[in-house]
Amino acid sequence: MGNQFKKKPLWLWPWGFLEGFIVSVGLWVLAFFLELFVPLSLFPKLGFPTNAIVLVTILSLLILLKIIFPKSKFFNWLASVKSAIPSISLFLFSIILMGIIPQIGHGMGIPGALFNLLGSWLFLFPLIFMLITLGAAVVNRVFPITLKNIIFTLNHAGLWVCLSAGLVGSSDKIEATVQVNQNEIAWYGTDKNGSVIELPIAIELQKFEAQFYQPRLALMGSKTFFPESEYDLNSNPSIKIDNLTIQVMQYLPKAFATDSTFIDARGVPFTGPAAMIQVFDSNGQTVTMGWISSLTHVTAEKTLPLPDGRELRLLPAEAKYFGSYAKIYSKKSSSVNQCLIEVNKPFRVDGWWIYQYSYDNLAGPDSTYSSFKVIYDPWLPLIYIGFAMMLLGGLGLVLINDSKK
Amino acid sequence: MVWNYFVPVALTVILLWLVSVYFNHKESAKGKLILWYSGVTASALLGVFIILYWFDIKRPPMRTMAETRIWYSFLVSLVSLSVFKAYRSKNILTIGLIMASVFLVVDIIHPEYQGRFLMPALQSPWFIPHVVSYMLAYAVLASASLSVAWTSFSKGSVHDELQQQMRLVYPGFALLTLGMLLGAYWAKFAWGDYWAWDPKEVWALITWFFYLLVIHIHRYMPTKHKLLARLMIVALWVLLITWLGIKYLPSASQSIHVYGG
Repeated sequence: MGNQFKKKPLWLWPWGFLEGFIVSVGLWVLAFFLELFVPLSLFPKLGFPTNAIVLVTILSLLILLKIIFPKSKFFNWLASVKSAIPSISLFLFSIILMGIIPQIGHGMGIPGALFNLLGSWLFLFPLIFMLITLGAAVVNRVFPITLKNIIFTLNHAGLWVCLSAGLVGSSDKIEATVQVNQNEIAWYGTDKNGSVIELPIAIELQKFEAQFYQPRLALMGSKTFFPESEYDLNSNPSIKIDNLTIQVMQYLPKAFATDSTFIDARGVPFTGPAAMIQVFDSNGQTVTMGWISSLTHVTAEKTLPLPDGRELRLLPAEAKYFGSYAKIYSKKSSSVNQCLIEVNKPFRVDGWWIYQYSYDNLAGPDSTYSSFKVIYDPWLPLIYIGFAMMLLGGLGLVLINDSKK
Repeated sequence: MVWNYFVPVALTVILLWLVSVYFNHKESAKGKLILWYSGVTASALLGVFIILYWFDIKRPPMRTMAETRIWYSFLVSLVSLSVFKAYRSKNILTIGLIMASVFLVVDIIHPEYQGRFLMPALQSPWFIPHVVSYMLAYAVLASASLSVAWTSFSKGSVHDELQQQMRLVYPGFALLTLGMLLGAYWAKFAWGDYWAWDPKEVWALITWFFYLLVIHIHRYMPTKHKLLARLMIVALWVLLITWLGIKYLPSASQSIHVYGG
């Protein structure tokens, strides 16, 4: 790099790494001042078709440049590693900032935008610079079709497709949460800003199902301790936590609190687990005993305080499984689909993805509603194409490098 | 319960690896045999332990920090043994096995046993390939970076071995890409978004772009050995932040990727 710096005066063609880095820094400074005076958040997000037109324009300009001025020094610099390395460095710089500064998702101007980099010029400029250099590199290397060029194109175009589809896709995405009561239908959802939006799909909740792990015991103080090994509360286990041994005397998966005790409430909705425990210290002496229970709609949480100021808690049970039997109505295809929506198994109809999202935490399996996340992301297929290209390209790179040995 | 046997198994594995490291620096035919079989036996033993533990807890043992360390330990040892077999690279074997031992020692001190709980979002066929690709990628890339660091500090010059060390970066980077894309694909099914800019994801992206930079410099600025060596060492730090350091960063307050335990 050093030699190139010395050989020719700055800005004289052909440009090298130094010009590249100066362009990078210049772009960042420009982005900084733009953000200071006209924050990006003031501009509306470019939705379809404007965003698609911008992308196609960038790509067409690069192709035209290549066809009309194949010997253009500027294009050759853009397509070369001499702009690629500065552009990767600039992008790295902007995401490192994002990795260090907490991103709260809103804020503009300086310093506001530093906490909302994704919505600022400080992220957009590095990304666009990368799209341009990456795009030029692809346009430059697509032909002639050789194995090396194919691998190069797969890697670079794959990344280009992912970055650009991700960038423009973010403005066309519709996302909402829909809470549906049992046996009811919802055509409306709530978007990220809390506004109610009408959806072209509707969800009818037929049945919500959930299974839970046994609740875990925890010893809370200035530090939290958990049991040292696995146990089954039904078999009256003896559990070690920190320096204590907890003997479970009785465990009720569904319990109802009375004045002084808990009674078995199997089959009663909205009740939760409780356990009668006896606590021993390391010498085998009883420290205390009593009931502990988790919070539900009908019982307050009951903890067991210890003489040393700490307390034993029965933590809310963690979900093992939850899912909803639902009917999905779609206006576009006038379809009605019966389905089971589970975590990791969204239902898809007419470009909409419907996810199992949440439920009434305090009611657990007795939840009378289920909440769903619905997402429409028309650019998703392009993202997948980008993924596939990058995977093939990565494989090709490894194989080519391997064969060089 | 299989976990109860962790300490004796880990100590045996560490002992066998250290025997392997010891004979790695002895020049004798017998020593070579001992180092190879001792290293392979230890890794195999750890592999068997992981499988038995997996069956025992009925969920993939990849949820807690302690569990990922066992995997790293296992995978780093596999990578360093294979690199040793393929390229006779003594440094990588020594560094790799010592690193693998350190992971196990940390686990002996902080077992962080977490039981059988596995939240529904993690119950996915994509969970295991995603985590394994990443761990393998980290193991390969960390071995390459550590080995560069070792030669630059011990010899002062990196020229001779750098090419060999850089060979690891390409498969490592491909695995990193695979892990990232598998994660994105899975995230679309589990959380609704292929990319959510969670702090861990941002750092995974930083790591990816950092190695991308390293690869470009290696390919297109072939004479810049010193720069490349320095970047490889910085890359290790970036990788460590992504894996271990996220929770210490101010940006980590909201991350779904901070490990349990």
